[in-house]
Amino acid sequence: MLRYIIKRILIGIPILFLVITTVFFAFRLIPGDAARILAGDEAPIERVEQIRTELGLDRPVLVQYGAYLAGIARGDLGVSFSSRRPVAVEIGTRFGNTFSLALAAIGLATLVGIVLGVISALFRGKLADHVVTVIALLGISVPVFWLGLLMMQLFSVELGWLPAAGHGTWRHFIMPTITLSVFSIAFITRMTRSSLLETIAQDYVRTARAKGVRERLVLLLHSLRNALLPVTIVVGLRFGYMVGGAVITEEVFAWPGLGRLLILAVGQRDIPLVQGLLLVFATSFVVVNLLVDVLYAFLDPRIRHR
Amino acid sequence: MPLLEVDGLKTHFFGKGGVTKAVDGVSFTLDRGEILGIVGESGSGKSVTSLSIMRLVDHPGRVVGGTMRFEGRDLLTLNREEMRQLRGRRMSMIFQEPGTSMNPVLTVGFQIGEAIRSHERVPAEEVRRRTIELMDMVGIPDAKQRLRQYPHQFSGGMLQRLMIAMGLALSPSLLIADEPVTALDVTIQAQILDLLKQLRDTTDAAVLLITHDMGVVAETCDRVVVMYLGAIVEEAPVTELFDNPKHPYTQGLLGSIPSIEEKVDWLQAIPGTIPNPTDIPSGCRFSNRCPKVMDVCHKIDPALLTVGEEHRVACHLYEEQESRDG
Repeated sequence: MLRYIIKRILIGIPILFLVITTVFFAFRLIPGDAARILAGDEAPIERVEQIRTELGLDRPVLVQYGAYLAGIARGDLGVSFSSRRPVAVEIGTRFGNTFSLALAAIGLATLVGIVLGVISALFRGKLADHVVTVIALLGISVPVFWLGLLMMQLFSVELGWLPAAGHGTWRHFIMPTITLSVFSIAFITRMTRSSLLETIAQDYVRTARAKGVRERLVLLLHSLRNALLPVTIVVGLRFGYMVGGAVITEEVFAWPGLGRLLILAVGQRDIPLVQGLLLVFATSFVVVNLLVDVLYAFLDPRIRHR
Repeated sequence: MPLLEVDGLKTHFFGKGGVTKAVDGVSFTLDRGEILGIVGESGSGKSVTSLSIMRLVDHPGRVVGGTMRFEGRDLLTLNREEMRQLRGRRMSMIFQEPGTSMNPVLTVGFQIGEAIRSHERVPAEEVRRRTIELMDMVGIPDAKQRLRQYPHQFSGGMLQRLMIAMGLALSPSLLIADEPVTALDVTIQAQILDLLKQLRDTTDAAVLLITHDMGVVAETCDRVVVMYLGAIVEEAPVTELFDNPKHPYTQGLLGSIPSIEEKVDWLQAIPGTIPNPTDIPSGCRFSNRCPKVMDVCHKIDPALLTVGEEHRVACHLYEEQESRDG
């Protein structure tokens, strides 16, 4: 088991290296000059060049790349061009906001998704199944920003029940959490449904019935437990995605998290900040996947013993 | 009174493409301590017959006719909870694929113990002790250690032993074995069949052995029922059936087994294939493949005739003989 975990960690390292390298060079290819943006449109060319030298952007690209890698090895992500504060500090102060929102959203999505999926599977072909299927289809197709704005219009503007934007109390969490989880709810619902239907048809479920196991246990222990194994993977993937992918939701609700920070950073060509953010997103994804793999091995003895 | 009395059982499947009469009027009895074989090709309805007795036929299948009396109770009048209490306690079933018939994420000890816990309130320590006893009984070495292992850590033969242990946990009076050795190696087959016979002798449980393998029948059963397309075509004690098969279908089944006594260049096979059960021929259901077919066979479905002691056959060939004899 320990060897399995170490192996998974070692696989993660080249992935992160690849991400760092790709992001670094890709950012040198897109148009836009950080020095010009920082200096302002009116600034004389000398001022722009001065800023360029300060930021180290006048050095050859490979030298910059080497310096960046050396920095990361020391745990130094560089300094933000626009705020002049360390990237690690910029990210650190907002990471908690994004993480707590992602946690709330994945919690909601898992709970609602599994319940709806189970209902859908147990009433296959009946009205409840069709209703759930339509809900799931809507959840997958509805654009996140539109849903967010719609809820804002209803609950904040018309009814005045919930704050429209910002961050602070639990009431601020409600709409962003729902918005962020809708797609995942739909996804987990469909996954649970198909996985449970597949499991219910397994020979070992029939065996359980044949030895007189109570129907409640046949469903919970022999069917649902096994059916949820592949669902844990989907939950993990969605969570990893949420930590790095809440850009739209955060922007719509003015949520002070990493997604909003990314939009700002890209707009200002704040290269160190963008690189730092993408590195954090990639690392979260790798870590979450590692945790899911470990959890899966814990839940499924066939993997544990391999 | 026989242990199990099945009379006119009909189990039909109501699919989108029409009704499939998987079992269509099957009657037989089974006594305590007896091993009755049900033989037939796939699609003959033998598995559906056994699932019907367990009341485990899945949607869209349904028992639509007949009666089944087990230990004096009419199974079709029992409610779900009463039926659950019978399963695993008075009647149990083992299946063809031991590899997929046990839950892969639960230990084998848990799954055997579950058969006990589902019917009796007993302390965990006693469940464990009885589980080890059962595993010893079916010949699993190191039961104490191995009960903590998972199904994928056992071979197919060992898993089938575990399934039998699970089935016999509460000493049921009926064990239904649906193709219990089909998925196993020949040497393991013999071991499992010996185990079944030995357990029948020590526990006096009746065994309903579903198989397509005449060799398994010859080795294990006391009496045989031959099924074809959802109906019984012949029924006889095992030696009588092998010495004196009456139905052309049974004769065909036995003719397709190679003999070690005489050299044959070509094994005899039954011509054609088993028709789709949605489309059973009119008259005798075997008429379109029968080498001895007569005009009457296409018109009238033959009833089961008694042609010897405990020997019954559904074939028009023997009708005159019966009227002459009695």
